[in-house]
Amino acid sequence: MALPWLIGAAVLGVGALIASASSDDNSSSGNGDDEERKRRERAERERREREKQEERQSIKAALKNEGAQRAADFKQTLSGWVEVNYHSPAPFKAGILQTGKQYKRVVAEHFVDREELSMLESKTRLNLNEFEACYDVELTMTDAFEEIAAEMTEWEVQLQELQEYRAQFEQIRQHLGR
Amino acid sequence: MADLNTSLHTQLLLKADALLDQDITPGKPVVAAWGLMNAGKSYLLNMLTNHIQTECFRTNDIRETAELKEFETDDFIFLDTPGLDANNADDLIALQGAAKADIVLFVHQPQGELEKIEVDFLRKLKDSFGQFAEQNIILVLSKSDVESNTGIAAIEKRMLEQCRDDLGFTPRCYALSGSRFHAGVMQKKDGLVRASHLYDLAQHLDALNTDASAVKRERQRVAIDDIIAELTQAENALQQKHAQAKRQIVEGFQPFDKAMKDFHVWMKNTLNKFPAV
Repeated sequence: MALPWLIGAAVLGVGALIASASSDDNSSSGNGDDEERKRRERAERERREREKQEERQSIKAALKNEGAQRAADFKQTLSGWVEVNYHSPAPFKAGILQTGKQYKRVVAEHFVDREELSMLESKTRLNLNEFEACYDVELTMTDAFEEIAAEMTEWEVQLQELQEYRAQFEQIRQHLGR
Repeated sequence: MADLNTSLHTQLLLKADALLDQDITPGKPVVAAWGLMNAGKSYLLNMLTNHIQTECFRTNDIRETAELKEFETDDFIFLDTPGLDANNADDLIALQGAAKADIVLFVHQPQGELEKIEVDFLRKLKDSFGQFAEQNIILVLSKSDVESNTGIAAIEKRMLEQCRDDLGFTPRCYALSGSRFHAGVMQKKDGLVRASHLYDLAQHLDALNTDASAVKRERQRVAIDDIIAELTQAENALQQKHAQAKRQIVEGFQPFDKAMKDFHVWMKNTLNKFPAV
């Protein structure tokens, strides 16, 4: 009666061996696919990075180009008010960092502060500061602008004097009216 | 143009300084003679101050009084002013003289009615006296002996009509003859002295010598109101010029601002497209 049990156990043992051998074959084939996938992914990443880099370079070049092209326009739009003197043939100095941030020149003293151009609108002052930060440029007032600015300053002084005198007289008048 | 503006500004401040410096402490009333050149102002003042034989206030056919000259009596300070001619700095001195006065003798010689320039000066004077104008501005028709009584009466009537119709006030008017007074005193002829009517004017001045400080205060009040109006007007004119210049500048920079705005927009869009690391 022991034989059938032995035969049964032997069959089970052979089945298990076959199953085990089949499993080893599958594992060996999976390792090869993963490496390939990883390689492909790396290649894709590298391709994408190359494309990004090219795009970055292209945008940087476009910015340089645009800045250079607009230099003459800015000079033209300021004519009659501000003399624009570019210090180099390629005066546009602003650029883009790899992080996407824009970098500009650091200007020690802005034209609007040096000339005390408080009569300009705040947006114009900011624009002039920005212009100096983007371009290697020297800005000076035209004679006509200087004349108007000097007159305005004189009028401000005169106005102050008149207001002070009027205040004095109004005080005396109030006193006389009592 | 800038120089002219500065000059007008300086003149206004000088006027303001003069007004601030003005002394309004009560004292003897100041009587100023005012009128065109050779109207007889200095002669009148010589008679009123008893300078019969010697001149205190110099008279001459040429323009003699280029500054304010004064003589103090027991009751008054008499002030002579340059003859008005509306075209030079002496008028400013004359106006300063009038500004100091509590009583003004506006002297007119009887060649006819008041001239336009006299009416213009009288208008300023009348305005500056406020409520005291009618009482303290006195018209004096000088040299009345050069015209017939009828002629003098007609001129006097016409002058008063001009004051009433053109200036809106009716001052007193005295037709005087300085030469009759001079001759009367020298020859001791009372009739001539009376006929000169100089004492009539002197008596009227005595009657006015009451409250000089009230007149001074009123005149100062009027002068201050005037200068406040002038200062305000000058301030407004400056503010307008300043605003106009500022507009010009703002408009001048508009093309630049627009170009910068366009560039900003372009840069912003470009930066947005930038593939950051």
